[in-house]
Amino acid sequence: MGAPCVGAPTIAIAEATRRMTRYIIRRVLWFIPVLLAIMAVTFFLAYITPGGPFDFAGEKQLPPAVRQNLMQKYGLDRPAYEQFARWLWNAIRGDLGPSYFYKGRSVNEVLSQTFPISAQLGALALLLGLLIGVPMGIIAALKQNTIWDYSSTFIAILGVSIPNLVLGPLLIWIFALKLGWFPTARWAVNYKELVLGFFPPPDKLWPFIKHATLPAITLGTGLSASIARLTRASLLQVIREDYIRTARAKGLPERTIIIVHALKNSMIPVVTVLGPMFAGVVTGSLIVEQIFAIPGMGKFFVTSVTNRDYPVILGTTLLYSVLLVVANLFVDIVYAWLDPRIRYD
Amino acid sequence: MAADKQAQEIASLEEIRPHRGPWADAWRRLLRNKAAVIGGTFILLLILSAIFVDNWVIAKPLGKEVEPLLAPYHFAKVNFKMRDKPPLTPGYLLGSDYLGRDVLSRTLYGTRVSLAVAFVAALVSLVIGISYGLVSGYSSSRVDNLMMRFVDFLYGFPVLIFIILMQVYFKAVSRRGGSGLASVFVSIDKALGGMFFIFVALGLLNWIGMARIARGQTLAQKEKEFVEAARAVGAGHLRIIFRHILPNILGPCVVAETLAIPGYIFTEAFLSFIGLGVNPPTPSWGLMISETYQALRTSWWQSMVPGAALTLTTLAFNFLGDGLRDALDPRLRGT
Repeated sequence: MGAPCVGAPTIAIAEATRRMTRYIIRRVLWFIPVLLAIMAVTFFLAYITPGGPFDFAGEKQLPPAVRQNLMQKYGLDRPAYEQFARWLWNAIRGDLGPSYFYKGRSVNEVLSQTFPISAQLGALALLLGLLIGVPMGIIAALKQNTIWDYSSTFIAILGVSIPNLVLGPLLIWIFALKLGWFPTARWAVNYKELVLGFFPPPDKLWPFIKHATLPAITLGTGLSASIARLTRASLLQVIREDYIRTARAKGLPERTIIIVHALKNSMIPVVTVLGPMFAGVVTGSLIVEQIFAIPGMGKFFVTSVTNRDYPVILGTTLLYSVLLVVANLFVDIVYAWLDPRIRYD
Repeated sequence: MAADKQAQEIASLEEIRPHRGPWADAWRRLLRNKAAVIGGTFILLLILSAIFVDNWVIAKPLGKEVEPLLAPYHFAKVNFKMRDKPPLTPGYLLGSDYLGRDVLSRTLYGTRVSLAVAFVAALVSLVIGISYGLVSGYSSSRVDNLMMRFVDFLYGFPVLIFIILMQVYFKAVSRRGGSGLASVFVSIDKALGGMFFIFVALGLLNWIGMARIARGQTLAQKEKEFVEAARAVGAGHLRIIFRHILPNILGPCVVAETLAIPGYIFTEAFLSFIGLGVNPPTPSWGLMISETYQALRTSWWQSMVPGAALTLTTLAFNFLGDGLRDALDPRLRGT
């Protein structure tokens, strides 16, 4: 570690940074065709589906003349490629069009009102997943083949196996209906009252927590269970590695070995599944928002699918897809940071 | 002399431990895993009950009831006098729903939908995924690159959203009746109570992960000596792929697929829950929950019985999947 060596790591770091930047740029450019294809397929599916958004007004069938006028108003009588091109052009400029079902509201409005709620729910669930899953996995791995290990492994497999569709009603039944500890449905905070568009205002914190607890647990249980399983498996593998033996041989205290040497490396597989997990949160929110009547994006998406509200379907799909690709990129970057052996060329 | 002695020792070892193939070995390891055995037995029972549900516990023709063991009423038998009866009511062992239909009978029939979706979707995904992965992994690096780019491309797609949109399309087409080939599919779908299009939607979109696994395995296997040996004695590409590589990559692929099955079962339940799954009155666990979860306060059994069935089934598949993984690759045991 003499003076001549000082320059070398700096150069290596600069090289790594440059490589990383190039990689990120390439990945971001890759988004463009992916998103275009997703939107084209979504549009195409909506276009070829028989029937349309203006077939019915409530239960009654709309007269053909009225339907014709409405179709004309929204440009649905134009050829498919023209409709798609127009939608795309507007979307690029940030305008996702009017909702067909919620008269007088634009898709931008619908999304800006429902997205923060879904984001809150998703963030709480992910937080819960990490806060419970990681410690549970660590305990199980460090106390392998003890009662701690067996019980947490069992709880984890139960947790991955119980679907949101079952856990939601079960929690409502026990904790809302039988014990009366929590409300059964809805979200306490309106999108207008959110601080910075995301956080609940301090005076509404308590009702917020009360309303959010059951849905967040419903969505977070599966996550924490799979995170626990992964953490355990990966930590078990890491503590058998040579560098851990080296650390032991150096006489480091056990706590340092686990925290400094083992944990960071054992988190690598956990990070790689955070991308798919994020997708799981999105999927799960479709169900959880339905069960708990939470006015989030998932609930609106399902409603707009039944109503054939195409602009809302397209807009929501776009937002979900952007979130998904960005989450995957983020995961890859964190992955590289955790494991410098990974090279992006 | 030394070699002789060694040969004798080996022979004596073989006497103690008779020769077994890797599959037999895996089978024995699987049988030692209690959770996997319980899970597997449970799935076997489910399959049997799904196949024989008609002539086993439930009177077959709607309206003409004979003396059955457990559930005397057909799953679609509506009886307004027997609405919302609690479990252990005579004739309704697990209670009745808001139309007076037998919950047990519906739950048992729901097994058919869940298992059919699970196995068909898994089979489709295995066949497409493995074929794609085999071709990609075995081909020249240019073709491989191209094929994997396509998979990467699809990987960014929000699968569940596309499944939903495809189901909307299929439902609308089957309401119209369709013409030509479409009408054939529509009638198949009708005969299957709305399951056929779920198979299609799930199968078309769920092979991507399997293709990645199969390709990775193929890449690892094709560098092995036995492939080189096969090539040296003049085996063709097809023979190498099917006789030498496929059997060696099948294990990990089957394990991954078993662990993916709960996902298919969830998806079907979810689709039925939001009204895009099976056609009522075909009983699916998801549909049963969606019809009754708002009546939890008064009639918990209506949603909790199918919910328990759903959970136990996925639990069984997870146990079996974990056990298979440990059995086929003992290095991963306990991970």
